[in-house]
Amino acid sequence: MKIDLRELIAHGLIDEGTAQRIQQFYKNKSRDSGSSRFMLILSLIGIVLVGLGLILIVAYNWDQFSKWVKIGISFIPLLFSQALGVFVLRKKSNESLWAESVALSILFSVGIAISLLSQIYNIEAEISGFIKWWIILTMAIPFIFDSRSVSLALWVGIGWYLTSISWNMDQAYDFFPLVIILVLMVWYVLQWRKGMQHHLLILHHWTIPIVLTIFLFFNSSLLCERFVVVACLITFIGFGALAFGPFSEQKFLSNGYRTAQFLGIWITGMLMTFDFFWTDSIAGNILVCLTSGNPLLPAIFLIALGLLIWYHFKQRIPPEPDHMIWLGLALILVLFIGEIHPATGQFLSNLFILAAAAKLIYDGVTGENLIVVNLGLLALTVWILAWFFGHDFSFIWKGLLFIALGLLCFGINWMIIKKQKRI
Amino acid sequence: MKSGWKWILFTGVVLFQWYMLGSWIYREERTISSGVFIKIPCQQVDPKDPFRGTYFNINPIPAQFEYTDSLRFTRGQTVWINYEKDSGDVYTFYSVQPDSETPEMPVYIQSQIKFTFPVYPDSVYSATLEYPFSNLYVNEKAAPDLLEQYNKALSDTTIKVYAGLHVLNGKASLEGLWIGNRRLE
Repeated sequence: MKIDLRELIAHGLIDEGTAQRIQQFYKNKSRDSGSSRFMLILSLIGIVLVGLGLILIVAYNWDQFSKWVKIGISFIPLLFSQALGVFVLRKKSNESLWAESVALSILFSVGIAISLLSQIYNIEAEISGFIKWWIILTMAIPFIFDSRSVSLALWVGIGWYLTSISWNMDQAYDFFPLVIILVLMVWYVLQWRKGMQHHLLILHHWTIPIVLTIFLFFNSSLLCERFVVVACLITFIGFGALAFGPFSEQKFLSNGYRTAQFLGIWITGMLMTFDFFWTDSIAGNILVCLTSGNPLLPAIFLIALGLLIWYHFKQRIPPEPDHMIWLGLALILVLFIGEIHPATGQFLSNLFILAAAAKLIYDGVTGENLIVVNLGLLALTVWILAWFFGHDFSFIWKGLLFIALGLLCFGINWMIIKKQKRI
Repeated sequence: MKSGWKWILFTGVVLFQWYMLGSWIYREERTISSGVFIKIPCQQVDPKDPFRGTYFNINPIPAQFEYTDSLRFTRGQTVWINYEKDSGDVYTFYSVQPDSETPEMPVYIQSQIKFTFPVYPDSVYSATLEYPFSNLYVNEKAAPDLLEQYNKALSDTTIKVYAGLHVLNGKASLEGLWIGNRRLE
């Protein structure tokens, strides 16, 4: 639809201010158009490559320079990118292409400076120390330039840091990841108001649940062994609350929390079906953990669980398509029951996992949704495989069950496709 | 966020970046100019780092020490490693003590306890040390030649390997690697 704004003003349908706002709206919209996004992606890739290239070329081949020349060279990219930052803040602060490019260039120039200085003076030998200082010196960049790419890089960096340090319980607690995660989370939540669909923000929706899961295991030394499982389930239920709360309108590929909660709860549930999980020695472990260990973190998790249940009821989130939140809550209950009687705990875990798979298949069949049906069948197959390899059955029984399972897959899929064609 | 706050934050970030990077240079330069130069015996291997190039991994001797009071050292604890003069600028290990105590010797390096474990239960314990320097970076072009020199020198088992350091108030700045009396460069 083409609109002549001057004509509309002439006929008194809109005033001058409204016309300007409409013009500004379409101007901004064109900036976010496909070609602009393509330009942005190309620029970001270009800056990443140039940054990495500079690190490799300069750092590996500068034997002939004196120490102070080397130090000078280390700071040139930083000086240049910071000067560019001043220019962008003054003149181009509303243009995301400029803002993202300069933010990334500052990120890489800081990385270059740290790399080169640590090479010149042989300092910061551990990669974790290198990443830590890189993150500390650049953590404010997303706030200043509204940069999604730097925020994403920092999330990846914190994940890298968490996997490169030791998680031992007899060392002083490292507050660094917690502080950075909280800071970055503030920026991330602030971005929701501007929309969740930007491609770089979508990558956040996948990266953050992964990093938070790693962070949970990093903190496992503060929890008793058994309570880690409860904490995992509560975290995954939290992902579910996000997936079906603020992210409920997102498409599947834009909602990493949905996959994270499904996989997380399902894998935890599967582990709970094995014999090793329910040895008699675990009886009373959670109770001991809550009474004798450090009660702060377990208390935080239990309060979070209460808030999540309250949130689900308050928001009236309907039983979501994969029912994982309800499976997660049931498994937490099973963990406490298993404290008293481990055999019952194992039996109930198997029962709930099987029931969840059956419900998925049922919902898929009644809703004629092939994805949900096959998800249920896949879940059922994994459960059966795990169960069969963990127990001693004759090959005849194993063979017959696999044939039955195969026929079930063919049969249900064929039935749904036939139904859909008839419609 | 209003743009005024962005300016303040950006100025703060720029100053912070320069301050931190500058303070590293100042700390290292002060140690180099005012510290004592010592050489300590070590062993080594030659891995690579994806960002910072080829380096020699410096493993000073001793990597661990034994003690009897189980409560004296814990994992992650900061300690002084004391050195005594051997000959020339070569120094050898003397003792380890918690950093809450006054160093026993004039030359000492601040370090950390990596692990502690009992050797013979109830009598002797062992602790591994994490030295503040572990990598000596070398130029990519020069690396193959240095490795060749290094391997050739090591074929003579009587030659000792030393890490050269500037030491000031417990802080150490790694200067280079010596094979016998010859610097690897």
